Amino acid sequence: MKRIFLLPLLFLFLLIFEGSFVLLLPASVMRSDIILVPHIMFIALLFMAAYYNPKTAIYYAIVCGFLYELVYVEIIGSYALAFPLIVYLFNLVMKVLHPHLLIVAFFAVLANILMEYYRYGFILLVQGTTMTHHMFFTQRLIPTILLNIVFLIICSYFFKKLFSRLKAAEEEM
Amino acid sequence: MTPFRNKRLIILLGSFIILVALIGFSIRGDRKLTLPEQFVKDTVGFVQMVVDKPTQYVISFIDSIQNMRNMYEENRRLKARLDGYLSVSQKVADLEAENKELREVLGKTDEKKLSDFTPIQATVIARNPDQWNDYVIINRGETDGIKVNMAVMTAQGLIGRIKSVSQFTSTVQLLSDGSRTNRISAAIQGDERISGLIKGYAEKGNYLLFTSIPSDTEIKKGQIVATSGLSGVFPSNLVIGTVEKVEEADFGLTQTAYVKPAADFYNINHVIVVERLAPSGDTGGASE
Repeated sequence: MKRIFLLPLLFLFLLIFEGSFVLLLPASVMRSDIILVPHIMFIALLFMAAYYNPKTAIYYAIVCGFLYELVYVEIIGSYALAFPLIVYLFNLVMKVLHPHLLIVAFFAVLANILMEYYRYGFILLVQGTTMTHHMFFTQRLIPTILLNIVFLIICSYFFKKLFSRLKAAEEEM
Repeated sequence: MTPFRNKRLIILLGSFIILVALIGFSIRGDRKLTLPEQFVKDTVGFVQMVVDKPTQYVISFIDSIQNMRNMYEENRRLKARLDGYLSVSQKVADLEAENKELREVLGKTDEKKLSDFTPIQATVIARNPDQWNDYVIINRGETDGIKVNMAVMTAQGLIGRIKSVSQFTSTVQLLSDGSRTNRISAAIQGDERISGLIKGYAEKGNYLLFTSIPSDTEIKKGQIVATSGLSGVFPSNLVIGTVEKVEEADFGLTQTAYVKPAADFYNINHVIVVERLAPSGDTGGASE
């Protein structure tokens, strides 16, 4: 009974953490030019795809993308497409590679870069922004990727253990 | 093999079409939230409110540590500012009494002034992590009387407007948001009233752009910019900021003043949602 709720609760918690993360940043960081965007829910989805079950991960990605947009962004569709699409591409890559922790982490970083570029392109096309590519690269992409690498370093081992254990528990049954 | 490939393609194309339709539907700025959206927001918002209490403790703890470093300097600054406070306070009380008296003479005691409002207190429970848009989520919704387009301010000044409302939470669009419909009708009270539009935000230097000011009016640095109440949506006299510098625009036809916002857009914890009491005209549309 408890097992069924574990994954949805985890992603709900990560969703809420992302919302509160910006509130927790010190004001001096917020006031400077750099933009830090947490993508920890997305990283968790990628680890789920690598260590637990690729197909379930895509379903979770669709739901998480929708939730993220409904709650925070209010333009429904862009993240809802990006999450499952990038998880699917990640699955294709992981099928041919051995799921070693460093490899998964490396491709998670690549997936994050892809996600940021996708979002930037979407905002440029649909909403209109004045951010040039140079500004995007230096002010947003680099700090965000560094932040997510920190998240990876902190959480990757935990995620790997969690999903491997879940998978092993499922295979026993 | 062939029917299998076709099915995948059909699913992909079908979901693509559905998503584009969703984007087109949801990108309209002034729509009311649908019921499933409200349900999701309220559910997540409820959990956020629960998580919010310890988060607030952490934030205030970090804040107090940072404040301790600047305490001496801040104390000195505040003491200097406080010197003129009593006389200003006395003058305001005096003016208010005189205003009330004159209104009674004119027989206008029943009408609400343009600056009257009912405050609704709220706390911030989340902020848009995406940061392409500056949205903040507060823990009051339709059941508390919040409606779309109400003004939101902190103790220091105006910070934004209510963008969308669900039953128990609402989303606030900050003044610094780059959306094209984010306009506020503002005025400077000097010798004569100067009206214009707040029409944008310059990230560099943290300025609000106060545009469409006729170029023959004189604007000095340090004048206070507040809402004018002419839009029918916000009450008047909500402080927005102070003028920092003035430049010519539109080839000399108008001026643009760079306004330093009075409120801090990054350290927002407790906000006041403002319900305007004066009657508004028949103004439709989301922007001011």
